[in-house]
Amino acid sequence: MQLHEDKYKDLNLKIGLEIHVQLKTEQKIFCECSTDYINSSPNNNICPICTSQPGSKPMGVNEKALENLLKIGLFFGCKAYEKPFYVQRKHYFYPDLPSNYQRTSQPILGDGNFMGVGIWEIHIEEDPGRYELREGKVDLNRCGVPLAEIVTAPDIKSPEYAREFLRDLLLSLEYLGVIRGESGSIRADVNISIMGGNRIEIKNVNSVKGVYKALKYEIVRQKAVLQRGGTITMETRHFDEGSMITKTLRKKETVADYRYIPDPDLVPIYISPEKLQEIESVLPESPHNKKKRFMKEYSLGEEIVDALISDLYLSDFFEESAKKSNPIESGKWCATELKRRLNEKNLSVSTSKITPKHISDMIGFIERGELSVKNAKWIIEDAVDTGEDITSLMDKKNFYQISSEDTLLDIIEKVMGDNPKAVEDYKSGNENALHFLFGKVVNETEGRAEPSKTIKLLKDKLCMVN
Amino acid sequence: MFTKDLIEDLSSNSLEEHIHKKIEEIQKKDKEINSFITLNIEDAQNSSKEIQKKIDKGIQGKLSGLAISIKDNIAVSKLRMTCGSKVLENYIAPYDATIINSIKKEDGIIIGKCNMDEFACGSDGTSSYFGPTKNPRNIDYVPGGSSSGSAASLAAGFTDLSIGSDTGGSIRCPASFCGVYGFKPSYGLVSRYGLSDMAMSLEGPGPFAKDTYGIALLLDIISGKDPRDTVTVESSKSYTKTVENFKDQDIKNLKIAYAKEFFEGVDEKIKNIILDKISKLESEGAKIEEVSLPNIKYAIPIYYLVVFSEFSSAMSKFDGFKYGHYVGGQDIVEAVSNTRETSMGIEVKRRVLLGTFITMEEFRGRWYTKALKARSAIKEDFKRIFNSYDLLIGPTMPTLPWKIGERISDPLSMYSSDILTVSANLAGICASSQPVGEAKGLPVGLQLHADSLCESKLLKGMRAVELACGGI
Amino acid sequence: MVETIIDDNVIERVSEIARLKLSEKEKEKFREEFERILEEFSVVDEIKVGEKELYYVIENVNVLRKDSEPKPFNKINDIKNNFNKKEDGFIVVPRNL
Repeated sequence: MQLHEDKYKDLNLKIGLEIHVQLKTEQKIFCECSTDYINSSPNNNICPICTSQPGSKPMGVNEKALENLLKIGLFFGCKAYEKPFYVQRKHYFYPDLPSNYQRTSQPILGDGNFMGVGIWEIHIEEDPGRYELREGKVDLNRCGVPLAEIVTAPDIKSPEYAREFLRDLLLSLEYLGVIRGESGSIRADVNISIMGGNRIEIKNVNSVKGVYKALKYEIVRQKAVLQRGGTITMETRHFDEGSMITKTLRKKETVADYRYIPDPDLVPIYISPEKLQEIESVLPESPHNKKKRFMKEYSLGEEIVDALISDLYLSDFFEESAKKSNPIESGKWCATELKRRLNEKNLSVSTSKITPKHISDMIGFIERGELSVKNAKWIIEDAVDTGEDITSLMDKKNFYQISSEDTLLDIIEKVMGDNPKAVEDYKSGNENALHFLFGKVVNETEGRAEPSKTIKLLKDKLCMVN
Repeated sequence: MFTKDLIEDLSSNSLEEHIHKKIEEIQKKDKEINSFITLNIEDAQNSSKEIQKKIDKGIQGKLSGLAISIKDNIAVSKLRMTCGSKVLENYIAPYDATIINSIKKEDGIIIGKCNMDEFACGSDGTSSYFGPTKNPRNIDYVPGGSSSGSAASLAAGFTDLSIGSDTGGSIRCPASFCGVYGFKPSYGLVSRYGLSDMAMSLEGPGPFAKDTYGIALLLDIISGKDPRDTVTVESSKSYTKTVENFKDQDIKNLKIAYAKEFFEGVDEKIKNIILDKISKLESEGAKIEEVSLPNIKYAIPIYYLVVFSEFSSAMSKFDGFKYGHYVGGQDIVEAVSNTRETSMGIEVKRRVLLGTFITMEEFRGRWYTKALKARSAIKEDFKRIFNSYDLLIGPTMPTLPWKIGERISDPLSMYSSDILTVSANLAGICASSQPVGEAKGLPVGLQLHADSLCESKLLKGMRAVELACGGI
Repeated sequence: MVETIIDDNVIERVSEIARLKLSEKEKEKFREEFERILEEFSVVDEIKVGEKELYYVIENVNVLRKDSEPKPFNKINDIKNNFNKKEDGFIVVPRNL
């Protein structure tokens, strides 16, 4: 399942992620300001609470934020903790954090799984504002936007899989309708260890691509250190989006002791079994159940199903296309070529132009012998890009296969006439000559000759020459 | 009843005149007392005109234009809020505390913001960046703290009512030292939204008045659930009625406990005055019994460990960027360190550092966590007593006011003066202080405690004592 | 006797974490004072305590708030007027290079 794992096998790579996503709400987590901080000029989406004016207190936690977080957890198969949880204060001084402590809850759910990666725990916290380091400017508009932090087990074994995991995780959250869409980004802290070295934490990675690049860089860096006989000691590094490398932090910045205390201004929160049931009842089918169903209902192999369910939009798309075509074929095309193309273009089926009808129509063309498997790949690429219907794509690309025996025979005769030596060779028992002649027919038809028919006709014709 | 009569007088006499007189008094005498940091004269005068019109039409709010002074750690929109510190010397509050909203709605006139110990860190009113407050009864003596200006402005006649805050006695101590009524409501009864933090799990705002009625009147206005403070609860808001309806013979229904631990180490003269009042209540029919509070002797360390921890967290916000005094420096670390170093007073620094220390990874188990576990023991002590009694009675302070400057240098001796007041905050119950006599010409305060959210019982007790002391 | 030894190293770290610059003289003064205060406070060890910390003296739990239309604060300028230094609406602070 983890495609690129082999490449790093000798390194015993262990990657864990702490992923922050903004939860979708109207108001901020502890105050009545809008969460739409992007469409506001600097420091114009603030109030006494989110700027921590002396005397201000947080309001009760935004219930919607908590519900969205519960949805995420339950969707990943997590269990909610039975004990009430506290919102804690995590103390550190930074200009984007008005109170100089961040309100962050204890774990609310834990022990789940997504794409074979363990989900250790999920909790809720407040987003800080923004501090432009280089310009020394602070905008507090974002302060107090609700965040979910998802902490994974160090189960990821390659930068490539980390990228795929994050991409699919984001898609699932978007599908659930629980995260803010337009920000489109994630923030992650990345933990990585390789054999013979200690765990390194990379902070402040702000995109899926960044996570991939940071990991690639760290692997090269750590390998080099170890090869020189150096040691990797536990440390926190900072990722620089500009240069795509990680940098060690100055000592001053690492003297941290978060001194967690339960926030005396926020009373404990208890998630009742009724609440969980209520959330569960409106949740889409979990990846786990969907997997079981797809394997049974559509007789699909595990690898194909894993690829389909990692992206819920794709799994819906597949089911739609399977209504009008052979599900095994449809599953295969969706899980391989389509998914590859979408990843390449950094799209999802929800954002690309391709429709389920494209896939079912395409499979029809293949089954009728009108489209070659090779050309079908090009059809998918074009459909993703343009959304044009299959018939017009077939015409435009001239992809209709030549299956008419008369047409094929005409071409075969011409090829045989042009290559008398090859015909002679075949007659004297050289099988390679058949492939040579077949290749000539394919070239002559710009690849449109239907292969099995062509071989059969070619053989017949050669025998007749005898 | 003094405050009630005052309101009735105002409906026939000129409110403008009344407010004008208060302002005159302040201008004449507050240079010496130093009970105000910021005055709100113009606004108060304008309000008095507006409210006079309402009075003329008979549509005035419950406070009917009474003058109210506000401790300077409570936000009043457009007014400076300093918390008695250089840190906020020039900070203008951009919003109203919830209780200020309520007071304005009921036509209270905010006459000014009161001096206080810096960030409420003090027990005698002398640690303000704006200079010590003096005791109106004798200006050589401390007024008590940390709500020093609230008590002093009321005792000096500069205001009709006042609002302070009580984290470990900050209302009751100055009420006792200045000879006025002070009330610490149960935790959660009054919204803290707009009260600058000292120790969040212990504190809340509360009223000062010249009598029990005044306390109840303010309590009716400022109590109740607030969506901006998650610890708040609903209030019956019938406190004024409770006081008005109290009859002499109701004393007979009161079961009052006194604990010997609350008299240990207490000044003999104070002890005698309090014991005399207890006998008086008993002779009028109250049931009085002695009980024991074995864990009270640990209250001071538990209290201060909690205070240090929460205070160091609360003070983090002051970095000079968003508001407050700013010094600056080469980088963000230096800028913040310089700013804090040059703007915070010695006791504030002491508490921030100690609080940081005891919540650090390697020391928290030894101090912070242990204090919180011990805190339950104090709560249990009170719970046991209030299962059988309505009230717990005793002195407010173990000593008479001391001379200004006497205790500044030794933090432990300053802390020890809170011995009789901090327990109520640790347990979250309500407590009051009221004047019951004098020694060496200085006031003596009697303290009553009642169970959490049993404000009505406490007010009945206060009224009983008030009547027993010859009050009207 | 307090088992916590507050050495110079610890005071240094506390002052860094609390972002409070201290002079050598202050460090020494506070170190001595803290040892004295904490020694006196170590009487809390005598109390028989349970396992549970008392974080909240009230019984309120689950104080949540319904999400609804944002209610913008109407005196944002009064907040901005307290900013130490402004530029184009931003708060100006030292750079971090």
